Amino acid sequence: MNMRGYAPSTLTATYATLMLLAGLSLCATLGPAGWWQTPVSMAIAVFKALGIAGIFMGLFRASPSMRWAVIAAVVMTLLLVVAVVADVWYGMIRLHG
Amino acid sequence: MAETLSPAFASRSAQDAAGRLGLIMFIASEAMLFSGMFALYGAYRLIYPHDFAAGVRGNELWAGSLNTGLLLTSSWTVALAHVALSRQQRRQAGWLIAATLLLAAAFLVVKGSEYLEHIRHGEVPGSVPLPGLGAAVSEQGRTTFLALYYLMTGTHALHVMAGMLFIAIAWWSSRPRADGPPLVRTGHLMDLAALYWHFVDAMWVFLWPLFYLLRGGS
Repeated sequence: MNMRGYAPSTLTATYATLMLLAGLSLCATLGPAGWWQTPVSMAIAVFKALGIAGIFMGLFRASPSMRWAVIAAVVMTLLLVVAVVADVWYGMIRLHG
Repeated sequence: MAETLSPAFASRSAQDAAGRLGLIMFIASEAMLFSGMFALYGAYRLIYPHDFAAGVRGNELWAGSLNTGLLLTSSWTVALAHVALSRQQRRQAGWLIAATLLLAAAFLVVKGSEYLEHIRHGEVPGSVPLPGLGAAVSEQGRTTFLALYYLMTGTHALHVMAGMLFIAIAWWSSRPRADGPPLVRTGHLMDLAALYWHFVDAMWVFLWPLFYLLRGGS
């Protein structure tokens, strides 16, 4: 086990899952195009990031103070991205009707 | 980071926890830097959906996918190196760290070759629309895509270099010395370097779909 409490077998299983998810992303891209590609690709990216942050970085077992720091950062990040994109989207709707 | 315990902390574990929290706060500020660029990308992709899709189709899918595999593998090797260090298996940790640095260097080589190829074809911000991509590609949308491509992947590449340096320094500092204890306790600085490296990997996980996978127009 490392300082974050995960055994090498867990780390290897996480790595295998991440590679599998990467393969899924690739399959979704090489398949027939559609509106669903963007949400599916981004959802897979979120799952991969969760695996990296939760297991490799050990945030699933981190102290409450560290978890709150990460949650605050994620919320701020989402707020910024969603607010900017929503603002542009709304502007385009008003412009083009 | 030195061997001595700071008077601000009652124990070594409290000092280590504070160091880890400090690095997490730094990573959070780095995430905000990237989120600003992700927001820009999202906004401009809404304005120029077809130009961005054409831009993504213009990137080499194999290169982006190979780089994803390289970074995910390097995250795994650095995590295993951290385990090996915590078990005092220094030789094994050394090989795993060498593998991590080699994978990171390979990532930079692939990225660099991609940049060279783009530049050779005149694909730089402000360039005219690319031949073969069709008349529908507007100069403004294409230029915006290229500007964001270089900005976001370039910033990420700088973080890869910083991460490599961090890992190398952490490993070098923790070497056993003939005249006494190691300069830095084995494990703690590597713990921080590994945390930073995983963050760099996590950022690429989002850059890969944005610049290589989302090839549709909407």
